Order: sequence, then structure tokens, then C-alpha cells
Amino acid sequence: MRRKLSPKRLLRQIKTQGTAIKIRFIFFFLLVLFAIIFILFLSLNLLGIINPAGSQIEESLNRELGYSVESIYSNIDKLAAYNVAFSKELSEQLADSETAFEDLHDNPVALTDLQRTAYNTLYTNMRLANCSGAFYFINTTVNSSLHDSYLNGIYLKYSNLNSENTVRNSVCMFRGSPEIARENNINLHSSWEYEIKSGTFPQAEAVLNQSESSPSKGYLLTSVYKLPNAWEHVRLLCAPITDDSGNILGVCGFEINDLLFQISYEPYGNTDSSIAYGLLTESDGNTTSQISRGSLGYMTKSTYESVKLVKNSDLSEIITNDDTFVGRTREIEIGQSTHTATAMIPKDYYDGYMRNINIKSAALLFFIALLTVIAGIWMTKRYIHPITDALKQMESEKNETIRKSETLQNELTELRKDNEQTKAKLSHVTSTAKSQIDPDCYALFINHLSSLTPKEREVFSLYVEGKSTKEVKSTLNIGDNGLKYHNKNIYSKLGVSSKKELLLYITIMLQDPDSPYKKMLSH
Amino acid sequence: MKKLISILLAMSLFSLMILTGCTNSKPTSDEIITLTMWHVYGSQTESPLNDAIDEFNTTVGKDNSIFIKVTSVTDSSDIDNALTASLDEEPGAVSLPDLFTAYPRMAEKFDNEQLLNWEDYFSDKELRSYREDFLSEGYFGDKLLMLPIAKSSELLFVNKTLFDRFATAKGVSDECFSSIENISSVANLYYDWSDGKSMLQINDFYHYFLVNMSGLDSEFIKDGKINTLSPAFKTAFEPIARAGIYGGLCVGDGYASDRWKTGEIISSMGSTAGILYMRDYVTYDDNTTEDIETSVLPYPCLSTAKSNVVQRGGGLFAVKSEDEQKNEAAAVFAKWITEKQHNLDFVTKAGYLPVTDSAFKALFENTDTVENAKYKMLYNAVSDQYDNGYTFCSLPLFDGASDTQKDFEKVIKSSLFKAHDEYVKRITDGENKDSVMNALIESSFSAVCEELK
Repeated sequence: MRRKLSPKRLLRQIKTQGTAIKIRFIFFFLLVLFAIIFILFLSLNLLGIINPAGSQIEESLNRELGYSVESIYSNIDKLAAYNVAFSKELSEQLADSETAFEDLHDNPVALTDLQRTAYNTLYTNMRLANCSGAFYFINTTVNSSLHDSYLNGIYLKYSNLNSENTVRNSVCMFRGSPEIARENNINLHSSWEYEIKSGTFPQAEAVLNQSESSPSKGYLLTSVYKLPNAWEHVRLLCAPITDDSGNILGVCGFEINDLLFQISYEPYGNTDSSIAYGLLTESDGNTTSQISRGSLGYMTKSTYESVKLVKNSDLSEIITNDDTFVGRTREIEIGQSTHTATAMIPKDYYDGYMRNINIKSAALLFFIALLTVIAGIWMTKRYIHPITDALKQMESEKNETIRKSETLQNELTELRKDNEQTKAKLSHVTSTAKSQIDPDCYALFINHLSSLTPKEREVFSLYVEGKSTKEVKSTLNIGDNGLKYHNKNIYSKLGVSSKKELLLYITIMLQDPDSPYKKMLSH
Repeated sequence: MKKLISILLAMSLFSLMILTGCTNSKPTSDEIITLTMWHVYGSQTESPLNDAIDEFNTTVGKDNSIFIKVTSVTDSSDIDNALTASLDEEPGAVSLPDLFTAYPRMAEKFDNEQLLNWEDYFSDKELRSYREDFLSEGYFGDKLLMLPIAKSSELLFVNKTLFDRFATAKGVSDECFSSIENISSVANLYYDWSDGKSMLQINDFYHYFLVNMSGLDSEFIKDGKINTLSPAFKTAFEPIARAGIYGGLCVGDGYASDRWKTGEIISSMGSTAGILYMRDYVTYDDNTTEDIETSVLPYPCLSTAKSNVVQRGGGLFAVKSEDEQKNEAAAVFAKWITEKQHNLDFVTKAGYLPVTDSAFKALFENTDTVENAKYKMLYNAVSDQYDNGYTFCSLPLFDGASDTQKDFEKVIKSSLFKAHDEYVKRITDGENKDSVMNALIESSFSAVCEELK
């Protein structure tokens, strides 16, 4: 019967087998323990209890969001400072103008003169500030009889912006009098118009009607607008231009186009180059956004005119008509305006990343499990099988010994039983023989045993041992005649006439405790 | 048992393969090849090339992990200056882009090994598909450094609405646009009629002299210099000087398209691509606007010269990268943008000419395929030039060609501008118009020749 390998038995085996097997078993149990801990760790990881998948991305997003917010605050703060100075200069120029503000209305000559004066201020501030353009407009027009309403002023832009450094960039006129452009040797923008049409930049226009007239408090950053008939998208940092009484007469400020936003707020990219910064602004129920991406590819646009922001407790979703992102968001205040800064990555990248992590974790788990199974099989084959085989062999050997012992015992019992029966029979035969023989003849037989020659004694002894005639001949290596010769002498000396009589006396002799033959043998 | 272990090992290997990323997964951002690009196609208006690049980025580019990032769209002069500043490592200069469009003259600014030889990335068959005259302009020595992606020629654009108003008033017809001499006379008439406005602006005097001197069987550039000693030079100078000094021809700085917007000129001799900037309305000083009709006519030449017109338009250059993948990516984009249909889609929205034989043939065999009527008129005018025996002249390449061209424009304009001021002053002072004009033509010609020595 096969016995189970119980720990108790193993321990007993270890005790008896020595140090080598101890080391093997310590190694084996450590391996099993390691596998269990590892699987447990992976399971917890997969379930998100410890070090949740994607936490690295979230940490990167948090860090990049911190950088971007800091960077936006820093840049806009400097830009706002220039804007305040710019506003004050223009306010002074308006105050110094020979024509009263009210008289500028429908007065092309006076408005062109004002532009002539303001041009240098505008140009200088544009060159100083980190912007893609600068503008001012006042709440009046050269021609109020037109169907649409317009705001007069100058809007200059860099025509070949390609870096933050604008020293080498040429300037063109986006809005303003062509006469002023000609005088200052600058070209007109391809989409040039004489004045700014009302409704082109609603939030900038709204500054004209806001209550806060101080440029240092009343500035704001607008939503993103597409420049009419151009491929650029811009947002404007605006500050009010006031008269001495604090009445808002116009708005001035700087333009941040999508290219400048990208150049100025390029993600650090040291963690993940797929991270992009976005600045989202909600206005009149529509959210617009400028995007600055790292070295990655497939964000189809750098500006989105309609964005849906879905805020979640972990990662928010930024959904556009073309792309969807996930990221961290933070609300920021810029003067009078509120915006949402975000560090984000394209959702398909995030999903792909998460999918890869999950597949890899599952594969790792599967790999470890397989390795454990393979290791288990190998360990079993290498270490456990020899031990169990040895134990089985030992067990089998012992069983065999026990079985043999039991057989012997049985045989002994049987023999004892037979012996007793034989003894009883012998005793009966002996008593029967004793009753048939002459005591004197038996006495003669016993007494003359000593007269036998050594050879005759050997033959006699073999008869006593119960050997047959054939066995006696073989044992003594004598022939028929030799045996007959010895038999004849034995018979004669002991007073018997046949072998049958001889064997009868021998039987009686062996039953006799005082038999001189036994004494002779014991000596 | 062995079989079981083999299966288990195979499964382990598979899972290990997944772990090490040997799977067909989406490319990571690090694997995307981004090429920066500066180009001239569209300037600040809607850019047909940007539209084409968007299409490339979302289709073939995406499939090949290539992203073309346009970092500057401006005019060729700005690109020339930015490239020169980058090459000279001037303070404040930005890094060179991976791709840029420029005229052949820019090739001389680069070291021979700085630019990609497109021949290394195109098969002979591919190169044979390009128009030979366009492709040959891109060879510098034995290297094809400039690949044609869009070419242009020159035409005459007329603000038909304002011209017709003037023509009706003064009894002239558009026949005046048949020669430079006629235009010169009519332009001066217009100057008087419009109370001091110019009728015409020539965007490139360099081109004007090149084609007309060539039409007079003379060389414009001789030994790397303007051939002012040729009688043909004076023949070409005289009619433009007469109009420039009088005022009918605008000799101020800036593009004709600027003055077109404000009605300060009503005709312009310039690139076919100028149509992108020739808007369909004029804005006046009181901010009122007037819708106008544009007509496009063949390039006018001297009546005594054979009809010649310049073949212009730059090409695509790629800055050679140590990263061979970038070079290959540039070639992928170059092949895509010059593929027949993509090229036709792009060029016909920008007023350019396609660069392969098949696209060129397809366009001019049936200009009705161009949907926009104004652009269709443009291609019909180009077609007329081909049909009427115009010879297409390439710009001569020589050391210092770029600076020579810039200086030439400056000298002609400034001389005539000064002469115009003097003419106005002297006429106001009561001098005889003809004698002052003749004197100023001679003096300005001498000044030009002197400055161009």
C-alpha cells in the first residue's frame, strides 16, 4: 500500500538524511514563498491597491501642470506689466491729442493722425513684450454710416514668427490705416482691413463696458479667436485705455497666437513627450483652447475652437471634434478672466499605455505562474522524487522483511506444530518399539557404539541424521560395496541383523535422554 | 513530461515577448519623426500647403510616423533672411528648419554637404516624371538640392472694374496691355485721371529686364554682373522710366498686392501665385469697400522684343540630417506632395503650376477642372502664353545672385522714385514736361548704371 508523504515523515527523513536535503528543502520553500509574495504583489498592483497602473503618467501630468501654470503666470504677468505701461502711454496720447475724443468720430484725418502718434508706442511695446502682435482700438470709427460697426485703431503682427525671439521678425499691419503702414515701411497683412469690425473679438470689446477701469486691475486674457480670413488663432491680453476721469475710451494689448503659445509653453518633455499643455477658456457657453505639444505627433490641431471639458476626480477629459485628451486641470485667474490650465495627453496614447501596462502585468503574472509551475515540476523531479522513491523503496524493503518475518513465524509455528506432532508420534513409535525390542539387545547396541571405527561412526552418524543410503554414499564418496562393508561391520558390532533394526534402535536411542550417543555428540 | 515542459516554456517565451514589447502596438511619441518646415505658400492667409500638410499628417504621415510641423509661413524674402541668419549663427537666430522652400539663389548660401541630395532618395523613373525644365533648376553641380513642388510664371493682373471706369472715361481699351510701351503711356494717362495714383506695379524689375533683354537677344547678366552696357538694357529701361518718373508706374517699396487692396494701383505684373493675394474688393480711406472684377492677361513685353516670361518659383530644400530616418521622411513627404493628384490639389488652390508631366498635361488639357473662375482665368492666361510662343526663362545662377537681385530692385526703385519727386517738383515749378522727362530718364539711367557697376 502507497503511503502519503506527510511533513512529519519528511521532517523525520530530513533528520535522518542529513544537511544536504535540509538545504534543498529550505531553497524549495523559499522559492514557493517568493512566488506567492510576488503573485500577491502583482495582484494588488493590478487591483490598484498599491502603485496603481498609470500612476507614473498621472505624476508626470501633475508635474507638467505645475510647470505650465508657473510658466503661464510668469509670462502673462510680464506681459500684463507691459500692457499697463502701454495703456497709460496711450491714455496720455489721447489726452494730449489736439482733437477731443468726441471729435474723432467720423474724422479720418484726425484718426490717422492719432494712429501716426500711437504707432511708435505700439511698435515699441510689441518689440519689448513676448507677443505675436499688439493692438489698440478706441471706441470710434472713420465712418459710422457703414452697415457694420467698426472700431478704429492699429493692430500689428509679426509676419514671420518662428521663435520667442522676435528681434528679426518683420512687422505687418493687420488693421489700421495703410498710410501709416506706408510711412513706416511695413507691409499690409494678407487679411488686412482698415478697422476692427465689431464682434471680431467680443471679450476684448467687452472691456469697453466693464466697470474696472484701472489697467492694472481691469486687464484680462480673452478666449481663442480665429483671425478673419487667416489661418491663425489668437487670444488677446487686453487692458482698458482711459481718460483722466477714468472713462474707458479704448482697449490695448498684446496678441498670443497659437504658434507663440506653442513656442512659449513647450512641455519640458523630460518625462513624456506626448504631454501637451492646454489653456482652456470658457466664454458664452463655448470653450476654446490653445495647445502646446511636445515633440509628439498626431494632435491634429494646435487650437480648438470648441472644447468640452469633463472634470473627473482623477483625470479630466478634454474632448474636441478632432481629438480627445485626458489630463490634469487647474483653474487660474488672469486679471478679470478665469481659465483652465491643463497638462494632458491624447486619450488614445493614454489608453494604449494603460492597455500595454495591463497586458504586460497579465503577461508577467502568467509568466511567473508558469515559471513557478515549471520550477515546481523541476524541483519535484529533481529533489522530491528521489526522496519519495527512496522512502518508497525503504517502505517496500521493510514490508518485504516484515512479510518474510511473518512467513518465517508462520513456518516456525507450523514447524513447531509438526515437531510436536512428530515428537508425539516418535514418542508413540518409541514406546511401541521399546515394547517390541529386547532390553538386553538394546543395551548391547548402546554399549558397543564405542567399538565402531571412525569410518563406521561416520556412516552411523549419517544414519542418525536420517540420510538415505544414496545420500550416505554421496556424502562419504563411497560405492555400494564400500557401504555394504561398513554396514556389515556395524551390524555385527552392534548386534543387529538389518538396516531396519538398526534404524529402530537409533530412533529409540535419540528419544533416550541418557543416550551415550548424545553425550558423545555433545563432547 | 518533456512535452509538457516544452509547452510551458513556449508559453513563457510568448509572455516574455509581450513583456518586452515585441507586439504590434501603436508607435510611441518618441518614435514619431517630426520635421519642421518654413514655407511661402499662403503667407498669412489661408494656406493651401498647410491644408495639404494637414492631409499628409493625418494619412500617409500618420501611417509612416512622420509629422510635418509648419513653424513659419511667410514670404521668400523673410525666409531668405532667417536662413542666412541661422547659417551665420547670428545672435538671436533660430535653428534651421528640416524643410524649407526657397528660390535657387539660396542654395549658394549653404555648404555643399548641408543640404539633402534628393537624387539619393528618388529612383530614375520617379525623377523622369518631373518636368525637365522645372527639375533642371534644382541641380547644383551634380546634386539635386531643390525639388520642384510648385512652379510659377508671371502674368498681368488687372483690376478690371476700376480700369474699365478709367477706360470709359478716357477712351482707352485693354489693348494697351499688349506691350510695355503702351502700358507706359496709358499708365501716365491714368495717373492724371486718378489724381496721382499709379496704374501699374511691377513686382520684380529684375525679371522684367531679364525677359525683355533676352527677347532683344541680349544677356541681362554678363560675367556675374548686370549688363548695363548692352543697348537692350536702355531699351528696356526707357518705357518703365517714363512711367515711373511720371507716376503711372509705382516705384515704391512693398508688394503690389498691398496697393491692390487699397486701389492705389489697378494692375500688377507678377507671379501667378499673386492671385492668392489679389482680393476681390478694394478698401478705401473711409473704410468703404468696392467689389471688383479681376482679369488676368499674358505678361506684357517690349513691342520690339520676342515674348519671353520668367519661369519662377522656388523648390523644396531639406537640411541633411545625421538621422537617416529624417532624410527618408523628408523624401516621403516630397514624393507625396508632388504625386499627381496631391500636387494638382495644392497648386491649383495657390495659383502655381504642377511639377510633373502628367499633372501639367492634365491641368492644361482641361482647365475646366479648376473650379474657381478666377483661378481658371489664371490658368487660361498661362495656357495662352504657352500657346502664343512665349519662351520661359529661368533665373541665371551665379555667385552673389541673391544680393545682386536685391540690389537691382533697390537701385531701380530708388532712382526712379527720386526722379519722380524731382519731376513733380520741376513741373510744379513750370518747366516743360517733355524736356524734364527726357532729362530725368537720362540722368536716372546714368545713376542706375553707375550704381550697378
